[in-house]
Amino acid sequence: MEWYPLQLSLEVALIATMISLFVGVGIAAALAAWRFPGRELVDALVTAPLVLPPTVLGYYVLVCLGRDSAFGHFWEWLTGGPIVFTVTGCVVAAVIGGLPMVIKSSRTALESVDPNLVKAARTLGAGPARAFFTVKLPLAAHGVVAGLMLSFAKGLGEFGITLMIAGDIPGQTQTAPLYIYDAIQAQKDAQASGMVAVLTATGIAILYGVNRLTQRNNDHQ
Amino acid sequence: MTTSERPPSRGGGATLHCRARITRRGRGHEFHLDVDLELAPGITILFGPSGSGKSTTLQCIAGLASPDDGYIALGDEVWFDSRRKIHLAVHRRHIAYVFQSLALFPHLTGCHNVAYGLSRSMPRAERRDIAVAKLEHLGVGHLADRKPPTFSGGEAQRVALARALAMNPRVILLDEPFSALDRDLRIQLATVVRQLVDEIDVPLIQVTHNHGEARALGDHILRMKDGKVVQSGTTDEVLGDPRDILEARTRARNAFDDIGKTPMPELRRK
Repeated sequence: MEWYPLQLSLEVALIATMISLFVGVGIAAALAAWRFPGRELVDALVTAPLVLPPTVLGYYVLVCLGRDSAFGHFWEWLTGGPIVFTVTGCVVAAVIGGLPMVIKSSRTALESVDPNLVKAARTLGAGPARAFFTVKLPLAAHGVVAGLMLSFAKGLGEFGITLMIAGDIPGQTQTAPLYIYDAIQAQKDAQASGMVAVLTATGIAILYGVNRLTQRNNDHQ
Repeated sequence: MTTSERPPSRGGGATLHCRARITRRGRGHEFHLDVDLELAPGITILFGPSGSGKSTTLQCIAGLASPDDGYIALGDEVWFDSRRKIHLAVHRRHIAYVFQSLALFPHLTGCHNVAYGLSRSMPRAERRDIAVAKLEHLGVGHLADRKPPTFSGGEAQRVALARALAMNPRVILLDEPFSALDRDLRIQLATVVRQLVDEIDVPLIQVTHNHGEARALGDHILRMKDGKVVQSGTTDEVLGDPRDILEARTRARNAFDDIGKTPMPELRRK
């Protein structure tokens, strides 16, 4: 069994999770706090990756971020390399796969915070930002962390979108799930089984941790 | 009520003016609030049944709700003016607001709850000292390092009061803060509130539908009904009125007792 795919998957999942923290919590906070027309439509759009086929998502990414797209040109001008068929592409794929988890979980947790607590913070002299970061977000932390853990697990196991936009280049963009796929295609079952075991154990450990986290919070309430 | 006898203090003595009109449409019913209040330093009780607009009035004063049309000012400082499009943000009004639910931050200790409203330009240690002193003043100094989920009902109410009063408020708003307490605790806390208001000389508006509390505390009582002030005056003027629910209730009870004492045959004969 090669270690590079596993290492790559871990790195990609970690970076994608950090991006999801800022983007996901930001979107969740906006969805939870503001009533604007089309709010639920935006929610449906950002959580659609949960239900859409990876090929559909991969297609959109190729159209929006491919080498012929406006953003693709800008990115190449900025960094000198493309997004597609690189590790950056792996990260984009993992973010798209994991972001819905962070948004769903964070929004639910943020909306469950008693609005009077935020109002109390405001009357005590806190501006909107301070009230959010010192009261609302800490009280929703369990939901945010659970979402991030799920997004990390999802990023680790991301297959379809990665295949579409990052390719499957051994030693470059071949993540752990792609490695398993290739090993089985080449009838190297022994190589596949090691990676299968690692991914299974990690996934179950994360889900167990998420359950413990949400359970503990339910006990508090 | 005269304010000149009281010692001067920060921002003390200013009168709160609140004119607010709001229309809210719910399912199948409309709610109109239409009030025009002059609130001098001292304790004013907003008295009335639930749904009469008491809490909405407090929210307008605090800036948590905006009147459709209105004018709110403390002294000559304008907080809200619908005509001139002035709306001073909640956190700039320096209002102590004790919610009915108390709204203590469950993730912060008693001390940090109280210190939350203190200016952050103050050194951390000084903020802690003030917070602890305030908690002790209200008899709950032992809660400084404990978190609200472990507080009893009375303890939580004292901490909430300490938090609201620690920030040197310019107006104090209490939304039925003592409703969950037994009679003795209610009187105790009401006494503390009385002292504090006399010390800092600011308008305090308390919402209640408890007669005893209104009678014990109020310098001035506004009776509200269906979004309007229907009666305004001193405690005796308003609560001593024959329309008084308590007296009506007492009379009803006496009448009922009389029935009990009346021999049954006589009743039947009626």
